[in-house]
Amino acid sequence: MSCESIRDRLDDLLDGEIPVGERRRIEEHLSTCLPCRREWRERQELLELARRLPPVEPERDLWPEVAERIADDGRHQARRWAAWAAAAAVAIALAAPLLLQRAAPPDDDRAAAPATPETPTGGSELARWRDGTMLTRSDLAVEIDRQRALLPSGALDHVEEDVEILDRAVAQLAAALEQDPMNRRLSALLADRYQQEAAVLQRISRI
Amino acid sequence: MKTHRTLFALLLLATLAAAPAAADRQVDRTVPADPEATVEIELVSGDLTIEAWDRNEVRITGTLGDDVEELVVDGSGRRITIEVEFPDRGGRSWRRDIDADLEIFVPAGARVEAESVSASISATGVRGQVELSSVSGGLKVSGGGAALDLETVSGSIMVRRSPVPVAAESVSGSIDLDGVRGRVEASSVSGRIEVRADQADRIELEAVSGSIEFDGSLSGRARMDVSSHSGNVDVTLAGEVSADFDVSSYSGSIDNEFGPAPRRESRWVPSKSVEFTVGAGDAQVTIETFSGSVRLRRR
Repeated sequence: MSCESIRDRLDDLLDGEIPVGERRRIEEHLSTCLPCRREWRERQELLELARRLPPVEPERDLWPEVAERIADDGRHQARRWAAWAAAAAVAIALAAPLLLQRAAPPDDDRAAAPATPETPTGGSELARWRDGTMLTRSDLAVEIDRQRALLPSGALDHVEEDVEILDRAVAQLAAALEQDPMNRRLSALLADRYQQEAAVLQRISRI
Repeated sequence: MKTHRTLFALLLLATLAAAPAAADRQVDRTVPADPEATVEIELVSGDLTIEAWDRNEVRITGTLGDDVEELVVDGSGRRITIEVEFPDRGGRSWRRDIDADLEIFVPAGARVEAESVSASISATGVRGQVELSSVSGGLKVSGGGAALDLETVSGSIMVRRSPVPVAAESVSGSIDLDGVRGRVEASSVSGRIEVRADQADRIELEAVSGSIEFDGSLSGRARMDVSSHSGNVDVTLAGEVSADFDVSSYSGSIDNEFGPAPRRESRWVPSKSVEFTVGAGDAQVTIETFSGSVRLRRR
């Protein structure tokens, strides 16, 4: 199986909807292919993050917009993670896990490029990213307390300094967005920072 | 009497000073391994050197600190695990002597996965996949590698002469990738990212306050995404360039050797951007910063 066909099946694998034989072939591939394994881990982590988010009642049916965004394979689409995040946030809001597995962006013919957004990242989506990051941070605090004795001296200082750097970046972007709320580049940068902060916190937890 | 006391004190000091060195234990273990074995290594602190050799064996040599309980080597053939174990007595483990300075030889085609808390790890000449992670230790890979996956928090990452896909992530540590090729991903918060690549086809570089430098050539249909908050971005493209460019910065400057000058997006905010095409526009280059400056240069 090619990497592309494997990645197409990862969502079904997450949902346990793959026949045993095919699952074995996919797992064999994942055990030897680092890029696919990373993709697999990312999707597992995202699903885990999504599961931890509190349920939110949507103000309206957001799926048509999401579907339109996913269908759009223009060259200025959102990065893979941003698209995943946006889709995941809405899916959670709708309490419809089925939507999550359909949120994978379409392939780009340029070097398997991830998608990038045509439209600004919505305020509610950013708020959910922020909430997700806060939740991860609170989980991390518990884990760090548990493992504190094992960590080398100074390591936590670095972590705290860098989380502060991320916080400052988020604050600056949020302030700029207040002045220029329709700036989709700023929205995308802010989504990037939330995503990066969540990824950093997860990495620290994992290590 | 006073002389005796002084002599006794000196003798005691000498004994205490010599004790840790005397307690360090030498290890030298060898197990048979498949040419493409998976070798997993875990240690907390010290120094780990992994080297490829042309034998179908894994050999572990080095010294273990006084508080290391034992070196556990499990398995043979396809999968070998090597773990430096120490007793969990609570308290601050980093104050105890749990260092392990190990040199591990693996078959050249082996796949290596190594994790540590503060140990520095280096791998040389391994042709299989290499996955290294450390909290504060530095990571270094030279040559070979089917693919590299490197993670640290505060340690630095250095890759030399590894023309393979690389994913490198740090929080505050610097990332320095030289001689890489194909897919290149590097992410840091405050660490500096430097990449020198040849025929890169998928480049994702991301930092918050750390600077980003890329110098190299792109493959025909490459896609490059560079994102920074306040760190400066310096991209130098070598060879014949054929790409669509989308470069933007909210408040940083943009210095572009390839195409037109950036334009202000609104009179009310400092945001500026420039989009242009060089050649047939085969590749796609996107660079975005908040306050970091952008320099796009030709080589």
